[in-house]
Amino acid sequence: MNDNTSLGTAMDPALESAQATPKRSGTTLLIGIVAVVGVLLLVVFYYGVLNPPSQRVGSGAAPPVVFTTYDGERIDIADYRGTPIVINFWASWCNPCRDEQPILEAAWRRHKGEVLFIGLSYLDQEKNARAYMEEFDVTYPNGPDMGSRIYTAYHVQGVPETFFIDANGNVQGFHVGPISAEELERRIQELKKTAAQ
Amino acid sequence: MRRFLLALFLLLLVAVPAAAQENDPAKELQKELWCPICQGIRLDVCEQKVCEQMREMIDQRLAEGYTKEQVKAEFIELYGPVVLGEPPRQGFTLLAWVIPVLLVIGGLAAAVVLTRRWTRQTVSVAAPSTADVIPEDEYLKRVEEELNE
Repeated sequence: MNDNTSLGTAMDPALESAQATPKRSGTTLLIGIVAVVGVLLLVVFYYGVLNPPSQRVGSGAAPPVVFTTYDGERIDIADYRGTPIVINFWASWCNPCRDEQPILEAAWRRHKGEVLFIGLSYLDQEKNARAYMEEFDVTYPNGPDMGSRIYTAYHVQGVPETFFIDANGNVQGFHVGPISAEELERRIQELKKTAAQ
Repeated sequence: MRRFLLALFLLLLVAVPAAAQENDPAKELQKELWCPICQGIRLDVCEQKVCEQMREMIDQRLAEGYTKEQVKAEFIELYGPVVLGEPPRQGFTLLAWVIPVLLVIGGLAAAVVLTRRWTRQTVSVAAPSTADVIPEDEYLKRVEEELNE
């Protein structure tokens, strides 16, 4: 009579196992959920906090620039390999852009045929962009950056910003804010050296 | 009666313009769209020049006969999905859409598991099986018998 069951203190092992199984599977599920959420939060933390903020494209192969100008001309910078390119991001609502616009237009007229100038209007409407271009008598190719796709590809962080692409299709650098005539000329001369090589 | 009519008149004076404003598609669009260069500022309250231009464009397009959805579609094409005030559903920002859904599913699963467990415990505490209960005197009697063996 040493049987434990005779004292009523122990449970049938089969019954014990049957009751423990759902409890164990529930705990496993909870641990799984916590683990998945934890991993996702770690990923968010890594990208959001530890990753440096996006940097403007300052070197390497230039991201593609394909757009249609306000005059209906399709421009793809890949078609201009061998020609240095100056890309200016601007907007009609941007006051600092007005300071540099005459400088850009003058430089374009001076270096036309050797350097291509491109203007991309950011978050702008055609009516306002056209009025701005007419006001400053802008003659180099300009068009809207639809959906800010090129702006995003170059990691531009505001307007005006100007990017310099050498004759080999590589980004040679950028300028943040309105550019002075001296700085623009210096950059263009550097770009022209790559075309001569 | 005169008082009632006066109150009704005053109520209409306030309610009619408010109702008209609620049905104004331009105002509705301005409330549904967001400034593309600010963080979390709605188009109807943003003082940026770009937003002024956007509000003008809404008025102009609606006057030209565009529907609200057509105006919205044009804004998305021109300004990008940022005007909807939602994170893009691609790349890393896709997590902003996925995580809340997973949290809700996880929360529901946890609630189900915990509720089941608590219910089971409550039942076993509230209604112990009479078959397992042995009267104390009988229990002691058995212990004594076994000790004597």
